[in-house]
Amino acid sequence: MTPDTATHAVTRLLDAIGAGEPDARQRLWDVVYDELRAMARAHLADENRAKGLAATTLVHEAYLKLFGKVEDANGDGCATFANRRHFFGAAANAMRRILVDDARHRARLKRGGRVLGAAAGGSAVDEAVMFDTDPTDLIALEEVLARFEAEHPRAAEVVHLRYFAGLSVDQAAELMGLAPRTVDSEWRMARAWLYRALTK
Amino acid sequence: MPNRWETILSIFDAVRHAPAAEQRALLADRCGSDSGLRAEVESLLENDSKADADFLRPKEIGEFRTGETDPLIGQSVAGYTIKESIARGGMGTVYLAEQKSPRRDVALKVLHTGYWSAAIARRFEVESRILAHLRHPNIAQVYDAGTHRSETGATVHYFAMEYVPNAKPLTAFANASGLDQRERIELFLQLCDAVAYGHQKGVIHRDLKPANVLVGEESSNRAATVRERVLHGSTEQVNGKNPLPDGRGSERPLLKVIDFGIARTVDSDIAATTMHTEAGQILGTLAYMSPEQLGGAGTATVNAMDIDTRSDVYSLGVILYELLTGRMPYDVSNMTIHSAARIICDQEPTRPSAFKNSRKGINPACGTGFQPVDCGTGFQPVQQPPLQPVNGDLETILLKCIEKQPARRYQTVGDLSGDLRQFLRGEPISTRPPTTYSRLLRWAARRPKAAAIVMGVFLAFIIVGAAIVTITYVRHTPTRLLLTKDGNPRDTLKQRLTREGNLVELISHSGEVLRRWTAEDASGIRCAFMLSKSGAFVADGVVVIGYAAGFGSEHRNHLCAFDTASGNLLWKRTVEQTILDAMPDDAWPRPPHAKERQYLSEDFAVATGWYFDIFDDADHPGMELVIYHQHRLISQGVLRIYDLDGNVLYSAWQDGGISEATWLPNKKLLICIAPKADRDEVSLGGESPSRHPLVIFAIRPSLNGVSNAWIYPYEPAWGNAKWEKPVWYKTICPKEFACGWLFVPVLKEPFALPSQYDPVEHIQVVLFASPDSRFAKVGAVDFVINSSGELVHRNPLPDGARQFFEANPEAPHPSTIDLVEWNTKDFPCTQPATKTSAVSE
Repeated sequence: MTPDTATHAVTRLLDAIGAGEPDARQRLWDVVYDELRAMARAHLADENRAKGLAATTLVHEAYLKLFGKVEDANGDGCATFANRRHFFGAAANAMRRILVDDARHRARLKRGGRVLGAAAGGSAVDEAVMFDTDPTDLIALEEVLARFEAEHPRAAEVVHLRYFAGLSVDQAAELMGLAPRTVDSEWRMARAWLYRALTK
Repeated sequence: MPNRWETILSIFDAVRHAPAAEQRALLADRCGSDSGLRAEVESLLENDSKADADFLRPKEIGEFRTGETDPLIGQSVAGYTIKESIARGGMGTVYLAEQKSPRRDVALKVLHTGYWSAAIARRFEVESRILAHLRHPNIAQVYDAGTHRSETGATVHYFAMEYVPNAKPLTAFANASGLDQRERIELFLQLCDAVAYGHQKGVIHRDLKPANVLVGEESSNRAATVRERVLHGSTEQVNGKNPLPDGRGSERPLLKVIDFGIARTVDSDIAATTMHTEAGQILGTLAYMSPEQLGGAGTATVNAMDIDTRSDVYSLGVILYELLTGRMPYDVSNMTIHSAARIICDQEPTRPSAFKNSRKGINPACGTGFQPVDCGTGFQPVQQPPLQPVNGDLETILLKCIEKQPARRYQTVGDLSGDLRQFLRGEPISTRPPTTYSRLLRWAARRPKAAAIVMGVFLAFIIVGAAIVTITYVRHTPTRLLLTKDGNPRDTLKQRLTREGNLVELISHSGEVLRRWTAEDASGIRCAFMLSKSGAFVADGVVVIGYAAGFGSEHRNHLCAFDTASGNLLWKRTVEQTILDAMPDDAWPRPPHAKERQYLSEDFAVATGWYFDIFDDADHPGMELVIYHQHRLISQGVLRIYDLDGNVLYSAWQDGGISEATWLPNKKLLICIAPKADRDEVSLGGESPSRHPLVIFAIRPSLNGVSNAWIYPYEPAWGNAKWEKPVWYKTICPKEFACGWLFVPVLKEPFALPSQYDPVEHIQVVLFASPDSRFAKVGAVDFVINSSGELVHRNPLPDGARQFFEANPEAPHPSTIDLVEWNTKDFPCTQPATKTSAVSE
């Protein structure tokens, strides 16, 4: 999907979400997921040397890519508050999915898959290891996070925006319409809760 | 439990923020007897402290695995032995490498393969040849570029560039060395020369930022550098004048621009440069990018064609801005990439003169980009004097560089350095500061919607303001005076006819009463006018009130003028006692009492008054007041003309009292109608106290006419009384009239002169008469005289009178009374034939 069509798709989808179309959220997620995944792959073409690009940077770049030009053309029309929240919500979820998929992929590799050397060219990128975390950590986190999300959806949203979308406390607070202090408290407690669940 | 989480959250939060010593007590207090709650909070708090900072830290892509080293270190790539890694950037990694032949240290930039494609490879080849030809002492030379295939089959794309030992980014160097403003500008001029040279060779840098401008010691192959300078004839000998004149010549800083043109070589789409850089570097890079590079300022999409040498001028401007103020033109810290880009494209930069000379907020310039190994930290900064304020011409130069529209910037780097050199020499620069108006226009062009809103708000303010002004005007500007009877808004017929009352109200456009003047007597006020000295606008005017009030009234019997706006008394006048005292003994024809000389100033009341523009020369513009002051007990009085400052311009005695007056401006005639009561009446027709005929006379007042003479049809026969000869003098008598009838003459108003008569020449006179003085029964006669006093027309039934009575339905219709017959008798205005016989008869 070229940036332009992706942009239009996002614009349409955000409108559709605003209009309450049931499938729109899922479709937005799909678009954002594809975009983030494509960008991650581009960065990971040289896995060993592309140091220091935060996964969350991807989210911001995707935002710029998907919204930037629309806003230039339409003024502030597109990046309404609601749209930003939808977007970052979707992006955080997409990032979570990418991370978890990546972790599962690496876990498979560890169990007997082939070990990749330095990638040469783009051929092996699809199978490249994306994230340098202990895959078992991420898979375990995914399990407890699913549980946590069911119990405490708001705190889970904070975790999403902070951890997966890489937003600061203030940015998350603005998007969620909460006081920064509340978000900070939720975040700290969610961390403690998740840490406890993971280390039990 | 729905609120369990909230409860835990609030306790968790409170305890976490409490001092350590109080935490246990607070926990016990907040949880009370709920041991489960307490256990939960304690558990979470424990885990909160156990979870280290890395737990749930946002993940990064492709981090180096712990303990792994860069496989390229120690390897030999295309004849370069890679010694160590210097810096890591978005596009690649820079290594210090040693070239075998010639033996020298080089900076080897190895590109990430992610930036590679067949198309880039082709361009890479072409561009690297061009770059190799860029030879300037201030440009880190690209020695070589190519692709190396290692034994393992891995492909490495590299640039070999001049290595600048101990280099620091420009701003970091300037701060660490404590350069003052002049030294900073001189250093910056080296940068300008380098960029200008590149432009001359057709290469745009595209990624100018302090991290790409390194300052270090003279390169080891200094001789070569000098040779280059001679060969290429660097026009402005920047180094001809030592940039550091204070004995630091041996450590003369040498500026090197790195990565010249490399951005273009590698990226077809400049936006990708922004995209694919380190997280922390994005904003650092963004801040130096021009609006056209960010795809803003009216350009909907990023177009490589939009980027030219003027984009470099912009980046240079930002660098100079930062170098001289320690700040950035836009504060984009802690912003998302997108909002930062928007700010750069849309906002006006902070004016450098807005910063007082402080060093707070100076960017640690080594935080971004290719970091030299020794990034400031190992360098003890020398004493840092505060930066000199940036204003005047220097500010103009800075702001011109970072104009959003390329066409408004310096068109070449040479223009910029030219102005900077002029500034250093203290000469006038080529650029004028943008006016507020032009900045406003540009802003409006950039943000048409916002401009429309602002314009709308502005217009709304004007409309509201105009409305307020109008309402204020309507509510507060006096427009008319109302002379009424106190407490009775509907005047009686007599009051309307005689225009007297005891209450004057100053009334605004909207009908509000702004001010009131009252008199004690029932008919204490005989006339009231609102006039303007300028003749144009009533706000600067005077309110003139003629009082005939009885004892106890402050302004009793006086003609008073008040300021319309403040209500303050301006002046008051009455007949002067000196004039009364100078009157001949027999001038008072019919002493009503024995005390015939006891005429006192205070006995003369204002009886009636009018205003006309009688004297219209330069000294007397506007209206004059015609006032008749009459003795309260007898019929004599003074006819006076005042200006609006209270000066007496004309003064003459008249016996009988003037009922009406009008002014024929073309004839310069003042026409008066008055009951005839002079003492010679006896000789002319048998005066009787109850049978006063009327006289109509015309005078021509003159400015030198303050004579206090008598207006009389012929020269007075008594004493040495002076004579004011009227132009003509007529008597009008009813054939039969009842004793006690009250005549109320009304000239012209409110009646219309019949259309066949010229209003300049003719006067319509309407006389009302009532036999009972209470106006229960009214008769009227309506006639027209010309300016010579001749009766030219008489209505059998008074049309004008009918109009009046139709407008006043409470009055009896005049047709209920028969009209009286009138005789007229001419006075020749000459001396009567026998002066004494009249007396003797």
